[in-house]
Amino acid sequence: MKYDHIMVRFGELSTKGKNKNDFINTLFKNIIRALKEFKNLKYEKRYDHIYIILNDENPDDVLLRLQDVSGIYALSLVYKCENDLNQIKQASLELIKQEEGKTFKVKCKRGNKRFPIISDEITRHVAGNILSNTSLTVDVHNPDITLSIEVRDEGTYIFTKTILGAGGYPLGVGGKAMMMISGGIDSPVASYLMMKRGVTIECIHFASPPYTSEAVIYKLNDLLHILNKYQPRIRLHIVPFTNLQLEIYKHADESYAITIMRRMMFRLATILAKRRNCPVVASGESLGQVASQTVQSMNVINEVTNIPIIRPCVVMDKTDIIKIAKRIGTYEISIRPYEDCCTIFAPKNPKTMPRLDECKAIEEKFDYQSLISEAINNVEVKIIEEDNQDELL
Amino acid sequence: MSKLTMANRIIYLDNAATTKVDPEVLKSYEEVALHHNGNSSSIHQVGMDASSLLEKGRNQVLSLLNVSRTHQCIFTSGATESNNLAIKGIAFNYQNRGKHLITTVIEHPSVLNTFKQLEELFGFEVTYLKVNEKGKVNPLDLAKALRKDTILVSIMAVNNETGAIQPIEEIADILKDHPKVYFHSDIVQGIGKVDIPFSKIDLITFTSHKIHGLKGCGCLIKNKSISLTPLNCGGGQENDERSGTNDVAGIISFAKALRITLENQNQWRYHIKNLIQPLVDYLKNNTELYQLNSLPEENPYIVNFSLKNKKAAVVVEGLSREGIMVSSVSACHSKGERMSYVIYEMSHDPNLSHNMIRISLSKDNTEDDITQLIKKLDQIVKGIR
Repeated sequence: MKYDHIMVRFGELSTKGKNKNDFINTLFKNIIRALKEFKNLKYEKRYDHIYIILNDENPDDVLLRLQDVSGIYALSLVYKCENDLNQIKQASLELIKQEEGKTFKVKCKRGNKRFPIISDEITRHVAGNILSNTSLTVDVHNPDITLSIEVRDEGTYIFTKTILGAGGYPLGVGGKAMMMISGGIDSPVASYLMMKRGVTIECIHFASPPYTSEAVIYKLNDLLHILNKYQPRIRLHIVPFTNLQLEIYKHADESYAITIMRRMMFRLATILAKRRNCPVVASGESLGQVASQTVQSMNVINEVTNIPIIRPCVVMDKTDIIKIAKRIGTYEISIRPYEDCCTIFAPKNPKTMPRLDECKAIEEKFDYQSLISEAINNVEVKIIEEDNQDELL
Repeated sequence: MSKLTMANRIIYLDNAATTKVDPEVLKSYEEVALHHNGNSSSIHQVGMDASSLLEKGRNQVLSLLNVSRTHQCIFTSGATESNNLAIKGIAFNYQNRGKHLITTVIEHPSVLNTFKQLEELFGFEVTYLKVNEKGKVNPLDLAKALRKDTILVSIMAVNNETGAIQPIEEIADILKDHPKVYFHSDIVQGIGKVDIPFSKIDLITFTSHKIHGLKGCGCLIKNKSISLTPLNCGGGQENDERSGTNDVAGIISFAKALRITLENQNQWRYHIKNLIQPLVDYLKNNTELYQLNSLPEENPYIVNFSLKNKKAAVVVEGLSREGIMVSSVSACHSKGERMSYVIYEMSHDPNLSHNMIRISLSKDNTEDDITQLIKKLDQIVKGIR
């Protein structure tokens, strides 16, 4: 017997009170978009679940794709039958026969109170039928197979397996962030974590040609392409950073260069964020990873802006960040060996405990404001979108 | 003028040797060769454009096979190179674990002769699994042949002469319990034609020109956890495992040929299944003349039969003069008086092995092709001495 539906359960949405409908509508749209390649699917939106009618599409492929959609708590392949005890008994038996294991348990929920038989009795009928027609035995504490039955107004759903979804909130319900992206391992992971919480991102990248290679832009393109799985359209702002960076190295002591550079980057990101209506800036910084990511450095660098800076990876270990990067598929692109503007001219001994007054003194030595305006006026924008089939391929 | 002009039109029934290039595929080749002609290893914009296109092609191949998460794709010059790279690459790289290899007696020469070389020059020991009268390997024989020092099993998915489908799924399941034994499969004649459990195979060989692409481009799909000793040393392309400037146009057109093939495989299979039925019926109704060696109900793409009392070479020549191209002993070594080792392993009959004829089809063949074939074949076989 084939499962014909997928039941999508919402995660934290149930805490959302009056906004719940907006959340469900957004999730519903996101699901349809994520599954657009499966042409035969049909969708049903209900107050507490979304149902996807498979119409013979491969359930494993559909489930795999759904696991990338944020805002889904769990997914089950379900069989739908009429609210009729005999049908329920028959279907339950057929479905449990397909499973491997020796022990089972039946769970029942009766949302439709007009159905005349109470949950406990349905459970007894179904379990009795299974006991007399298979060699399975009951174990209510540690069953190998859990058969769940949900009797609802429109019909009864039966299922045996539940897999976890991505969690988080549907993309688009959490507003927008300006994400600082370098092309390394951390910033794509931070982007993913933001999206998972429902926040749409725009990306800002600092390029220092000819010291940094055009290859970095190709790399970013490939990285964002992977993130297109979660957000189908990403705007990338490429800020020309060469002139500013050269000036910094002219005026700042080498040990302060990185700190000043980061201060400039945050200034630029703040301006762009405000211009693009992003209430926050996000970055892939992780505590202690490099000199500019110590708490003292963060304090001194953060001083240039009053916009909230969200750092989703801030307390994560590198190994955990890499684990996520590998899972979402950005790792292998991130490790392509190109220099970014943080690694060129990298000083041998950068300050791990920079002082604010020192920074201010250095910044007084040159007219960084006009260089910042120049950079902002020459931002190049690229839109990275989900591929349509390339004609060449 | 060549003999080809003697017939009004060509009926091409040797698609297991090579296929007609799809015009859509050729269009991509031309576009890339003219407008994306960088060296994908150069770091300037033109080079990066080529490299980015190349990677798109690579990703498409992997995702079409549904193995993006687990496997990598190495592009090569074709299936012969892929087979050499897979087998020698594993043998050399893992020989410290053991020097025993397993394959079958019916593999393509690019596999068999690679194993022969490993035996003769490099001191490896090879077990050659036999096949039954249907040309199939028994998975239990494999289970028995496995030893502590076995490092590689290479078994083709579909035989190139008979079209016999090998039990790849069962073999993969046996090898699942032997994680240190790698499983290579040459699926050249199977891709887009029969169902293959790609994700269960560690190393997969196939090539462009058998699926309506161009000659000179193939690939080896390889599980990410495996490293190979490269056969071509050089500039470190293809993850250092196959140096040599990438043929981006060939690769892109290959990826396109694969997409078109996989998208249409069910439709094509259905078409060919219907097409060959009259031929199969004809052969089965004339058992005094023919013996059917293949199982067209399993794989309709190849119909292989032997002439019981006539010379195949004469019939193939006669058909060719009528404009009908079929194959006798496999194209790789049909020159000289040889017999089909595949049919011999199945029948142990030199006469049947010598007088084998292979009809292999593609989506482009028509009902009329088969009607003509049956008519001419019947005339020739009954007409010659």
